[in-house]
Amino acid sequence: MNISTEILLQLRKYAKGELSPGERSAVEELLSRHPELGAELESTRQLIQAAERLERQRLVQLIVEIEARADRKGWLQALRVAISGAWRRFAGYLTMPPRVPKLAWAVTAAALLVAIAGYWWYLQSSDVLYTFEKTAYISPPAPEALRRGAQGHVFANAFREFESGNFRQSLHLLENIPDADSLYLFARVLEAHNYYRLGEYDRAIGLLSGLEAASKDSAKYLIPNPDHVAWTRILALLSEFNQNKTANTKQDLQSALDQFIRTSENPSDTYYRKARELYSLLAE
Amino acid sequence: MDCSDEHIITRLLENGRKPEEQAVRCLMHCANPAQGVLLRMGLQEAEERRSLFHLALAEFIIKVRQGQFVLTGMAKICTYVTEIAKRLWLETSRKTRTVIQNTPDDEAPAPNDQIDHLLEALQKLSAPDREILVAFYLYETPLKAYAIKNGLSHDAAKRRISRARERLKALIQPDIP
Repeated sequence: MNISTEILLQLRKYAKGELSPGERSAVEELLSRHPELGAELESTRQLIQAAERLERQRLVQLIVEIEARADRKGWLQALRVAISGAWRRFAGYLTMPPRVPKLAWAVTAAALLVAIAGYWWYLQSSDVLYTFEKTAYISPPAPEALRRGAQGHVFANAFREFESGNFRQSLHLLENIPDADSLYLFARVLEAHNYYRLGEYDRAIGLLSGLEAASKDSAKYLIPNPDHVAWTRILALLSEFNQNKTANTKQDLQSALDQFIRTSENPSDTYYRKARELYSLLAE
Repeated sequence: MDCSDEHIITRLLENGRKPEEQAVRCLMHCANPAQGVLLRMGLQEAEERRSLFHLALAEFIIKVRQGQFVLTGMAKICTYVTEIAKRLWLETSRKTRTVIQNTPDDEAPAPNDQIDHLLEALQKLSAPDREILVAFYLYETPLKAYAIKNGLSHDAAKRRISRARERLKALIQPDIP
């Protein structure tokens, strides 16, 4: 039976108990004439509940995002108030008659230095995208094989070098891992992280894009934790954008972010939440 | 920003993300009074108080859009949200007590798998499909009004809901042609 929107409407009202007694009996008669509508009524009932839960989840997520943004702005506001208060007190001190001139000059110089440092810090932290970039990085997780004891493997040494901050050394070791090695794909991901940490974002982006594309084309290149790979590429694009602030870098970043949000495997995980947060920051 | 009760309701009933965000930002002002009441009622965990407040806000927004909240001189939004938060806390504590009393002799009620399944399928739909289903089934938005809000013809809105339902069915029962 083809169900028209009018019937859907009646079923919805029936399920919610919004019909007058006359309308109710009309729907009940329709249900007795077309028993297949019984299943439709049941699925309407379930759909009403599921739609409510879905909307509730969406709203809670929005509220959490807005709250997080407000918290960040609150800190900046507090800092501004603190600096302006200190400045007022300092200006008041300067207008006082000088009792110990040498000390006054020393205090003035020190305060000036602190103010310059504070202003520099404020400039850095007021760029929310810059702050986000510094806090949203997620280190590559150690592969299961390493935890199970592949400690002598050259990858294990490269991973250790990476964790110790010796990125060039880590890259050098990773060169020796052939593509037939079971840890080859992990090695490529780690290589991209090394480039990212060295500030060579172009190379990191190229490597990660290549991995993602190869993974789509061939089952042989199924990358471990695709969300992690995609997120690292987004961060590298963000770093490029923060450095250059051009329309092109912003467009690249936005399209990568759009795609990630659309195709993310798990909309409740950290990567997804961070991506939504970045998306909102970019929109501001 | 104007955060009067009238303004909040108007923003919530407008279409789009921006007015919704503005309304939520205003509603965040209710956080302190509502969470204070929850604290006095014995909810010690700050994180739990915060989550409960979020749930209360979400429920309030849904009620407004369903036309179940009418702004009168007597009803202040923050008071209303606080009442929802109190009710949610009472329900939660009652449920916890029941579970403790029923364990381990009685089995807990089985989760509603079908609705979970449906929820998962809804999350997989595209945003326009999801929006029209939520508008129709939850908010009871008349299709004509939905069409006007979204710049569609009435027939296009009818086609959209019918296609959204088909896609949802295909996600729930992928094997049935």
